[in-house]
Amino acid sequence: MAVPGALIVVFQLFVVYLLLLLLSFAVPRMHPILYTSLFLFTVISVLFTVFVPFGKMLIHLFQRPSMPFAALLVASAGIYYVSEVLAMQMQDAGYHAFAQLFQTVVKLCILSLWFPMIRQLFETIEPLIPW
Amino acid sequence: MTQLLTTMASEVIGPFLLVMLVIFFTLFIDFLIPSFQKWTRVTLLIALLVYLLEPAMNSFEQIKMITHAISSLFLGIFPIIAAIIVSSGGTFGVVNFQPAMLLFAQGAVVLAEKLLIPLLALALLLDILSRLLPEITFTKMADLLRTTLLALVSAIVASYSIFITAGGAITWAMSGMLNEPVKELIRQNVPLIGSLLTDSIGSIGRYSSGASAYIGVWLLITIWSVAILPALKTLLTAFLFRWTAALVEPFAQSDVCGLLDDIGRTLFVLCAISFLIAFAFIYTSIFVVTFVKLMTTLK
Repeated sequence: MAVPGALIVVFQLFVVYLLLLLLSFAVPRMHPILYTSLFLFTVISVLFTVFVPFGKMLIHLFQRPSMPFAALLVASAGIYYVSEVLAMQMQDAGYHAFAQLFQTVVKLCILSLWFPMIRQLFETIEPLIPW
Repeated sequence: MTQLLTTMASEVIGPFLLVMLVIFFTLFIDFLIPSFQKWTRVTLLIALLVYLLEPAMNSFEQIKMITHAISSLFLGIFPIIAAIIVSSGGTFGVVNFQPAMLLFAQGAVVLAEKLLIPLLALALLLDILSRLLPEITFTKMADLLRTTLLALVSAIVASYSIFITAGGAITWAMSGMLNEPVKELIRQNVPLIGSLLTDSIGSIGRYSSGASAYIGVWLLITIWSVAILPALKTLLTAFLFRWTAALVEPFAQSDVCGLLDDIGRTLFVLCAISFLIAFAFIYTSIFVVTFVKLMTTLK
């Protein structure tokens, strides 16, 4: 992902924002559903044009054969960020409880990504325990 | 030889470089997603423990293994010693052998195996726990354990020196003029255990230089290096922990460099214990070698 590509995405985001403002005046009753669908479209396109290439670049930058940590951290941070954005969107629509549930499930997913590493940690600490 | 050195260096230093990279990497994530900061801290601690506990644990394992080997060596030779003491008293006058000394050395080994090393491991565990859960801290307890262990080890080393000078007729072979500055350097630059280190090396030197007449210099050097190498490796690892802590302090969270510092301090105490064990090892093996030589030449 080069810098001009990112700038184009910034421009697109602003256009989408203007479009949303316009829609809120033109069709106020349809606004929630239009907002949600437009938001989802934007999230998916930004995810695949900006986030995924950037994450790959970051992982590639710090990749070592003995270092699964970088990939894990990037993946979990990315998942957390996307889930946070989606949950905020749900909260905008007024579904606070649903947003909470969604975030908890995502947190569980992230934790299960880390399980192999935590198990490795336990195995390392185990000989320390004298009894 | 060069390759061996390179692999050894990468084995010891590699994890520390990796940790610096990891901490730098987490800075990126913190900048990108500030709301993930708390998690980044936890995952960073986990990664640090996974990467860095291994060198520390290797030192622990190595010293445990040596302790075990020495205590079984003693158990193996004890019946023969007892038999010889009964049959011929005269030989032992030559070796300047003190049965109490051997017993004392072995007592120190047993103490280290059964009490000192497990307690030190407990201190390390408490440190890790208090960094993982900052709300429940055990830092005072860990510090107390470490200082107590250090005091115990110094007391034992001090009594070693008393035993050896009581034996008499044995002097430190190297000239004092050459020796003192080196000792002073070590004493001032190795944190926590510097003076202990010089004292114990001096005591071992006093003993083994007396014995060199019987067993030859090269064998003595071999015994010394076998005994001292694990302790030196532990010392190097401890220094690397503290250096890493010092290097990452400007840009890492205080937790991280505190943890590194704590592990380093624990390893210094482990190094002190390993010197105690090395001393017992040197004493026992010199005794066994001298004894075998006398048995084969005098009879």
